[in-house]
Amino acid sequence: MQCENLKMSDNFVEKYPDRVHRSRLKFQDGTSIKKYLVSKSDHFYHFIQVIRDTLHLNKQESLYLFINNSGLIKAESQVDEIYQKFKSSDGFLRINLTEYPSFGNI
Amino acid sequence: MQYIYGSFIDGWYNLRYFLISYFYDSEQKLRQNSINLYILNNIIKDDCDVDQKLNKLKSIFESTIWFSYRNKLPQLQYSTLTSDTGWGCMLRVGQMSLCQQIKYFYNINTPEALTELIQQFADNDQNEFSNFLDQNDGDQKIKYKSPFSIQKIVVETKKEIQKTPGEWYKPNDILFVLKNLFRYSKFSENLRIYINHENAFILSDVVSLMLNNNGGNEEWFKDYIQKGQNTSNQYGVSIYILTRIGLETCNEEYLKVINEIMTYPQFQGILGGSPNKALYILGRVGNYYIYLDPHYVQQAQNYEEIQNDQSSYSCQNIQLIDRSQLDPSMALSFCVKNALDLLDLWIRLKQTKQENGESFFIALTEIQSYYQLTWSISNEENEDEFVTILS
Repeated sequence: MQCENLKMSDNFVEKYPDRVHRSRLKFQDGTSIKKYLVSKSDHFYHFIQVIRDTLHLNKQESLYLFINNSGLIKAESQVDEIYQKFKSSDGFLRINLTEYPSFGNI
Repeated sequence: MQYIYGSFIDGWYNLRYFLISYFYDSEQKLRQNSINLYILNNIIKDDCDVDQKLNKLKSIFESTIWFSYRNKLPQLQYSTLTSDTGWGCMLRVGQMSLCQQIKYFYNINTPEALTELIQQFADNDQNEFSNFLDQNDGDQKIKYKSPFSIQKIVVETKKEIQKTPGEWYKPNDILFVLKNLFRYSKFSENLRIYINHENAFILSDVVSLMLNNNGGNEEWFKDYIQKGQNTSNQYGVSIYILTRIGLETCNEEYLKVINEIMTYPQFQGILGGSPNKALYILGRVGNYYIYLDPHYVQQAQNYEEIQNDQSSYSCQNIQLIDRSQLDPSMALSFCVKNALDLLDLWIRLKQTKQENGESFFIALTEIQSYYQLTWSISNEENEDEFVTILS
């Protein structure tokens, strides 16, 4: 799953300077879900909870957010800090969402 | 026909197990490394000769209880299977981990107590299984002799996760199920289980479990310890942090942090493995990780049979896996016996975080925080509605 979001439009920067505009929480399978606004100083913990709710994950399911295929986003990371550090040239921050694999052996 | 096929598969697994042991030659690799060895919460320092080091390592390794595939089980519920060969490796790793936590916390080392502990995981619990099915209503007062038998795990898994025998387990599946079954064990009297599925260590959550009361932040907890509260009201806590240290392969920087974590006195192993193969990782020697392998098929033993023979629950072959072969999905486990032990673990984690900066992949949080959603802002430009997230 990939989530393309966290773009701030110019319009929003003027209107809500303290907020990151999470535009189109869109998944690779084409599902476009809601749009969220979160404070720049807020932590990813809350956004992870929102994604869990959106995906209807059970409490025992695990969900991890990765940037650039290797960097795990920690729940305590600040939204703006991650955005500024890893955003693409087009203004989007692209995040890979992943669950746990099952283990077995055939 | 099914029996012949099953025997062939079992034979293949066991042959492969021995081939890996033979060709990997773990002992030679152990002898080549003149460095400290870390296994569970033990450090074997490089201040004695190689044979002494190896003997110490073997002693700890062989005394760690080993669970592996079992055949000739009574037919499992919801299926025609009589073996967990090929699908139960993570289930066995979960059993090994919980068993080790109980063994460490209660300091179980006499033959009688060890037998009783292994019996908690007996693979054939027909004597009490019908009772379990009838009374599986969450009553915490009911205690079973074998609460962690594969039969009870299968029933609880079906009930909670809707998986049937034959389906592969994730680390979070088996931990969730074992935590549910833990209430039926006599060992739940003084020990609690904390699982964080979000790669976070939330101090106040662990403190709350330990004190059976609402816990506070670090300052509150230090104050509690300084006041010298009654330690008899404290529970031990088995801590599981589920994490993923890479998408396809492990992030090298994160592995360095794992290596550091393995030196903690509270470290109790890792539920992990190589892709598809679940292993219980006990420690490390240089770039290799020491593990117990559940991919070896043995015959199921019931409660009475374990009383007479426990030899199949001890593994004699120390096995090593190269760090490059490790699957990035894993659950780190710790055991804290009391408040001071928990504070020590917290300080160690903070210290490791300070030393490793961004590479420290676990979120350390003093208290749980909650969020609210508010439908409050409309974007006039494209008439979209936005949900605000408030912390």
